[in-house]
Amino acid sequence: MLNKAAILIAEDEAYIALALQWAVEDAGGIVIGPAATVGQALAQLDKHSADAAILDVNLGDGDITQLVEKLLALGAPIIFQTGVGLPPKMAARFPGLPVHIKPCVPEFLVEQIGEMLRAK
Amino acid sequence: MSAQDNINASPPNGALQHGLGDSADEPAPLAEPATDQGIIVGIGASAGGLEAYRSFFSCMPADSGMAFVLVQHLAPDHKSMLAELLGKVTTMKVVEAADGMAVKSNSVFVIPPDATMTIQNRRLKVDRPAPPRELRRPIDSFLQSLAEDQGECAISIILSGTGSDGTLGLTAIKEHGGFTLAQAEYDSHAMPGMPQSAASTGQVDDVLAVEAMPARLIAYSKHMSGVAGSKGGDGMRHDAASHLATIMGALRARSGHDFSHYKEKTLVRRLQRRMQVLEIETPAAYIERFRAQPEELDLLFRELLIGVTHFFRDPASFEALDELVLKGLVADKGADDEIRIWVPGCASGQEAFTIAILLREAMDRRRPKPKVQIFATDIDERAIAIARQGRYRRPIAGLSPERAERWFAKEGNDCCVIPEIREMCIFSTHSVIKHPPFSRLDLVSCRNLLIYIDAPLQDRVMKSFHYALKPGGRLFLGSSESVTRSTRLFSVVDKKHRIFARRETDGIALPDFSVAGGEVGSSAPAAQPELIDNRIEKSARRLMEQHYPPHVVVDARHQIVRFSGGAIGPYLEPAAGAPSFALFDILRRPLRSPVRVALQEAQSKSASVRHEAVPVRLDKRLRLVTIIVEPMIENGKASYFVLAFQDAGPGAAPTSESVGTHSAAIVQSLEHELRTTRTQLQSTIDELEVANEEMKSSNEEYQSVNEEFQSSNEELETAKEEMQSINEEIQTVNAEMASKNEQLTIVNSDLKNLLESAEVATLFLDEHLRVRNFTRGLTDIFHLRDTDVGRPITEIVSLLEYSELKRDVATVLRDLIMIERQVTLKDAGMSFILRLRPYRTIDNVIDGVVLTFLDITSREAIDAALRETQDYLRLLIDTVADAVYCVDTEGKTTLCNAAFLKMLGFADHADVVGLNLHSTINHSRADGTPYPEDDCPICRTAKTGESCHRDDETFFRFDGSRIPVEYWTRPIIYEGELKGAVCTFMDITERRKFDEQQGLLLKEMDHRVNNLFAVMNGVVSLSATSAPTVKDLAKAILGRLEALANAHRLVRANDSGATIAQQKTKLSELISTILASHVDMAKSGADARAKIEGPDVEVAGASITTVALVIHELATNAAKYGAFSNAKGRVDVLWFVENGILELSWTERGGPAIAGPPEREGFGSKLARTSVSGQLDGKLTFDWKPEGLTVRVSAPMERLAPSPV
Repeated sequence: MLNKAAILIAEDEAYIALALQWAVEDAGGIVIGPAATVGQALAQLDKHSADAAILDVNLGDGDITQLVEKLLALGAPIIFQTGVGLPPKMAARFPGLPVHIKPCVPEFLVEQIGEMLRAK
Repeated sequence: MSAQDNINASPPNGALQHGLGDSADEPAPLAEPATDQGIIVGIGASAGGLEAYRSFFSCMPADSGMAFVLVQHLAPDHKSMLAELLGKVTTMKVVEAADGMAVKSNSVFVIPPDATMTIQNRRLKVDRPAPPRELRRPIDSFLQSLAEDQGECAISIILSGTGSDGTLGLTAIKEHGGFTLAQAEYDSHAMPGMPQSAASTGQVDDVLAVEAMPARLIAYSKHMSGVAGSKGGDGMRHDAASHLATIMGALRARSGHDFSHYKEKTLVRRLQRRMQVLEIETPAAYIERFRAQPEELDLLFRELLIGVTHFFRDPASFEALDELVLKGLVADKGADDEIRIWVPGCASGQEAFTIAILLREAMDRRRPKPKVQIFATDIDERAIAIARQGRYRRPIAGLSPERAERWFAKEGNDCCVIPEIREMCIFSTHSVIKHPPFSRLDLVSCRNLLIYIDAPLQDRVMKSFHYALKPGGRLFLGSSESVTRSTRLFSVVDKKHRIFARRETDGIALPDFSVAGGEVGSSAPAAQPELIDNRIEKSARRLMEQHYPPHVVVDARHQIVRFSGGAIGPYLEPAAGAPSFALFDILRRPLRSPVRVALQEAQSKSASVRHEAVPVRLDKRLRLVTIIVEPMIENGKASYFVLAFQDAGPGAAPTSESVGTHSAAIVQSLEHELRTTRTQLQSTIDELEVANEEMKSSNEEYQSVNEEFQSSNEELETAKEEMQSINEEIQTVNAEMASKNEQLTIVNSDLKNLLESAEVATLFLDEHLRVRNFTRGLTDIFHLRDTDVGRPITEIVSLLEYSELKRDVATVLRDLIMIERQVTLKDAGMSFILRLRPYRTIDNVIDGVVLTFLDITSREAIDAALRETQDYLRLLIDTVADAVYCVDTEGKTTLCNAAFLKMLGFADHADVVGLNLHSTINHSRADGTPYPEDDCPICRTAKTGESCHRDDETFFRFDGSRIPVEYWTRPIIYEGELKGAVCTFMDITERRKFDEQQGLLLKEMDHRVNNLFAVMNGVVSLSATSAPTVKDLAKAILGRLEALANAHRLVRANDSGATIAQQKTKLSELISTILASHVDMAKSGADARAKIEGPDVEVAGASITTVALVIHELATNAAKYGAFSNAKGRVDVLWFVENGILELSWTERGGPAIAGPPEREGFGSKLARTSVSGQLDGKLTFDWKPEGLTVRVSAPMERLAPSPV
């Protein structure tokens, strides 16, 4: 379904990260990460090119704006998942991006990202 | 000598020095005509007149050709800005007047402060300093001098101002032919007072709003220059005089008064003024005008009657009058005597009242006082009406403050002559020219009347005065009048002050008043019968009687109308029968024939007849009697005859012999008899003539008596009219009195009830401390009974500890102040506030004192209780934690408590109370915008009574800092009336902070719960991919959830308030907690199932679940296949940190032997490995040794416990 598309996963909660990872892999995608921090994610992006990304808004080391911008520069579709919603600053800055409130079924997110990729 | 000459002979005595110009002198023609020099406008206003001035000049063009002189009431020490201020509204030159400055057209001159300004020959005269305030009438002074200097080229305007200054000046302007305006009352700039006073004289030509004045002035000025050509060198119009007769005729027909003997100049000047005011060009047009509007004649009539009069006009003259006449008059009179004074031409009564005041003052020390009657007359009914009221506007010109105080009662803006003075004067309309004079007068005061009338009429009036005065009576004239034409009638007493004495002169006839006034001048005074002094005449006649021949006076029908004295007896003989006056009935027979002859002769000839020595046989003796008949010729006809007899001695009887013998002798005898008869006749005629003469003189006597009667009659009529008006007045007053009486009865009964029931003890004392009245309550203090009224209070037993009563009463009566004392009763322990006030009667006379005793015994207790309550309330309000304050309906703070001051940072109540709170502290809406006062809910409550509650607002403290508040406002309603609002508020900073935390906490909770669900989601998803059976799945899920729950409990035990990122725990504790759900961690030593050892390492944030998960998976694996699957296997978990990397080893021993790595990597292992590499950025390796599995984990320390962002 994902046709070996490279999906960056940034999630600091291990079970969620793994569930997502396996869901992506089950759908035929290649997982970059999962990264638990912004730094890790950026480091991953230096090494691998990502086609899309599923990002937790609250990563251990802070603001993900830089990461989002980099992904947008790559033209990668992004899905946010968060426990509390997008901070107002982020929502204002990236108004078009889909936001999903946890808990989300991993397969659902994967389906969404697949659609976004196809729509690209 | 004309009045004009009088002016030159003795100028008016420097009245200007007193600021009161004497302007009633016959307006002298100006030295030079002023028409080519432009009009001068004098404008008067009081200190507040600036607005009016500005409006006036902003409407006045700068090239009007007029000059303006502004006279304002200025404070003496105040530098006037008027000139500068007016310079801004007009382009005319505005200057402050200086002495000697010439008045130029198109300029404005302003009076300097502290000065009296006058004008002479168009030059301003400035005298400093101004007289003291009470005498200062700068507007009057200036206008009077302006009137004299400029005549009809003077205009006066009275603008806004208080008082009556300007009124006299305006009258003077008008009297001299000028034009007068006053500001209308409805004018927005006007203050009543001066304009009103001016207008009330009736001398104002026009009452206008100040804006309308300039246009009126320009029209007036234009008209004036238009008619200038028709005026002569003396400013008189040539054409006016010729029409004067017509106009005066019409005036006489309308008013009944004849002005034809007024001086022509006066008449023309006044007529000219009317025409000027009406802007009428020619006298003919004026005649047209009054034919169309007869009311114009009434205005002309008033115009002719203008006279300046005021109290004590020419003070020096009145002083002389007082000294030379009035004091003597009072001294000479007894209680039953009467002082009779006549003031003809009294106008509005000032002169009469002045004399009344002087007389009254002269009588001060006389008791009993003689009766005084001052007949004050004038032809102007309106003036008489004003005089009868005796009411004048304050301050009264010419009157000293002492006299004003003593003889006048203040009534609003006016003062009224007190009744005592008023009753001395009798006012009536009466013409000194037309009506007979009063009689038996002591003084005639006729000031400034003669100057208006021509010489013949002056003579006539002087004769009237002479007749009216009793012998020795005095005449008082105006300063420019004289008796020079009538020195025969009056002698000089004081030349300077014009006081004259009546001369005893015979043969002065009273002018005839029976004919209409108009014919007076034309009828020759000589034709009038002369008045004969009766007494002298009578005595003389009585003396002469014995020398007269006996005579009778008969009329044409021979009826006797007069007998002479006794000597007539021998010639008369009463006839039998009814008494008869027929001459020939009672004349002795022998006389009848010769008398008849003589009478007939005299009758036919209308001349005297004398028949000498007519022989008549009387009493049987022959007498020779001379008969004289003298006709009394009246109107060319003899209607009376005097028949007189003169005894010419005995006659010889004719003898019959001689008659018989000598016819010649008979003839001779007859001839003789005839002669005698003729003589007799002649004497009879002569006698008749004498009788006639006597009759004539009697007649004259009667006539004089008649005149006397007539004048008394006139006087009576005047008195009657006065009586009638008084009667009517009395009736009105009576009705009023009746209703007042009724009211009084009610008031009296009210008063009685009041006194009976009044709680306040009140005592009324007269000035000698005698009890006048008291209330019931007073009996507690003084032992008073009703019978004590009239007794001095000092005789009454008092329970009061108060000895200064007498002194205090004296003080109150002297200083007219209120005295307050606190006094106590001797034994009862009661205390009172005693107030002593002067007792004023309704007419404001002090007549004793009023004492009120206010019982303050209970009041003091109440006061104390009240104070206590107040203190208690104050304490209460100050101890509450909430801030409280009150505002009134205006937004002013009326109260605030301690919490208020503290919360808002004020030091003292005084910083807040009494100030507008909204502007002092202010507050803002929830969004931070400040409230305008109108929207402020607190102010609104105070204004509308609508309560409100807010908790989203911010108050600003005194120092500008803000505090969030919650407040409640409630209206303060006292007895149904909204008095303001009370506001209670509290500082909600702490609550706000708590709410904020609560919000954060909730958010965190939400985050965590969501996170937890997400984690569970992950757990379930992951577990589902590997569990072969549902039972396995459930077990796997439960095991993982338990690990998570344990980790969470651990974390929560350490720190409950931290966020997920802030949570931390020790690695050793975390591991032992997870392991505890798989093996008994209580065992120790050799039996111990697990050894956990390493340096203190913290695990934080999301790494906690990762570590928990990894350990749980390893333990689960060990429980299934490794060291925990039997009863004795053990696991050593050891770690160390090197170069920031945690190196951890999981070594299983004592479990079943391991054949090698499993064929397929188990789910748990995979989970553990991916977690470490993904979440911890580390590495996890499995070493499947036969003696047991060894797992090595290496991960960077900073991932285990990331420093929080």
